[in-house]
Amino acid sequence: MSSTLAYEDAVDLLDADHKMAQKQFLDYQGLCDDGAPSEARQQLALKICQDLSVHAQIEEEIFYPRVQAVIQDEALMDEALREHAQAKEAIARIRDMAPTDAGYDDTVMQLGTTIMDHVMDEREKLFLKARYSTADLRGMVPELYARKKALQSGKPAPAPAGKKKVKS
Amino acid sequence: MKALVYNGPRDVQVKDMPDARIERPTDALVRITRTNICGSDLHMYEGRTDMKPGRILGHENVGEVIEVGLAVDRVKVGDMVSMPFNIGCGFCENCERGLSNYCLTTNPGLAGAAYGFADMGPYHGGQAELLRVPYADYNCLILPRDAAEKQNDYVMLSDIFPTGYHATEMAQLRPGESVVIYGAGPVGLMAALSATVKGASLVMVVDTHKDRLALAEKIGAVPIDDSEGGGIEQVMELTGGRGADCGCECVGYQCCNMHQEEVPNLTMNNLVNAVKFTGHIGCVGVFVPQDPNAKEKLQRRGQMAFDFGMFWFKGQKMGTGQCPVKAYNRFLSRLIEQEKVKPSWIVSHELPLEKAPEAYRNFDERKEGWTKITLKPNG
Repeated sequence: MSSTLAYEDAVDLLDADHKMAQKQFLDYQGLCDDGAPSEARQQLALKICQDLSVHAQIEEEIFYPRVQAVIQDEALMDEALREHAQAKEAIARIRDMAPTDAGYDDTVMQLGTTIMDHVMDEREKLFLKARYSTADLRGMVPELYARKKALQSGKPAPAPAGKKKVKS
Repeated sequence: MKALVYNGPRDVQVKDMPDARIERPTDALVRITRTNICGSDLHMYEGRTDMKPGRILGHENVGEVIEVGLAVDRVKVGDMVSMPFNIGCGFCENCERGLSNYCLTTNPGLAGAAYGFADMGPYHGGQAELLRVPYADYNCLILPRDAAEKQNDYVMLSDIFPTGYHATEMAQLRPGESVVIYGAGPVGLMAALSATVKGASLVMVVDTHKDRLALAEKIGAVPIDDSEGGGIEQVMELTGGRGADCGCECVGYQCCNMHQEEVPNLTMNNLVNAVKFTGHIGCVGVFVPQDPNAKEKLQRRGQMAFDFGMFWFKGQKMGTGQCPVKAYNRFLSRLIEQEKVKPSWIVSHELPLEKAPEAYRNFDERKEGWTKITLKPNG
């Protein structure tokens, strides 16, 4: 299965999540601007929370420890985890709120700011450093992908989209 | 070292920063002799990007190499070099095809890196005494021997001269054709110069600033003052009602109407109307995927009301994005060396680095006579 995954390395896979998150926050802004009903806003907000939780978990379980083992940069890792903790707090708040609550949209958009700050930081520091390091970023892809799919569905990873299964 | 640092919206300061240094064996260290303030620096200056405080600005840089890393072969200490604003690696899928503007290595996750630029990697800019140049063999253009005397010309090779040229390339301008250029800022003027070099029969430049239009006229372009409106009618009159053969957008998302209010779709829709059926449009003005500090809601989401119906109806084509400077800079440098062009004609101010904050203020206000500023960080 691993040979059919299109992501070149772990950074490509993880940053695809980042780009999707950015798009979702822009869409959320659009819903607010257009006065969309609260159900629609909540549906998107919860989808954002779910996607980000999965993303954070695979980073923390797989990517961070493997990269840290090679670059040994405590400060950088602490910063990344601190930013994750901040995001998780906001996610928990959003899940506890009703979309009609005062401050719901602001909390979601605030999460957007937190995430995009984290993304910028990660791209400029950790991703660049990881790519320069000897960490096996290509080899990490199947594992990240499988874990992501398992977390998303609660089931084992399905075959990647659009690719035929090769019988082994 | 002294450097011009972005503190926040409309707040830049010259202060002491840690010396730039060789960080990787493929780096070179350059002592900057000229560095320009670019119109795109103003997007950051005005707080209209997600640029973080603490970054040194400046992506139009020329200087002398004072140190090279162990893995640098071609570039030598003492060389006068021009640095494209793009930072490329030279070996990724895009750099391989000459698209150094969308390098996949130097700005992980995204594509395309630059010195001191929002969303374009962690690199400091060159409005400073020293600049670190990654992958120096790829990212330095070694200048001809007359470089020291013609620095105000060669400094245009980092960005605006190739970017203006790129606009005419995306517009597919051929000898004998007419072109309408929206924007007589430094990039628009360089597009006009490039169009002239390529043998356009008619170069029309549209703007609302008289000092800038006067510079366009100096190189034989037809200035069109749109401050009273009516720019499109003038283009139609000059082209017998057909419209220009092709067009260039050299303004970007902060384009303004005659009342100096921002109307982000103004130049794009004017171009659709001023360019002929089947004409091509090259868009090098900066547009952004989101603009949180914009007043209008579409603009906040990076969208605009575009005359797509007319664009389709006329069968036009459009090219977009930043310029791959390395595709052009070597050959454009020979035009300077052979004195076929003198892009320094737009320089209005040559200032020491200490005067940079004042220069930013005046350039940002589009103050009469401040058309292009070049800084001299090392005297």
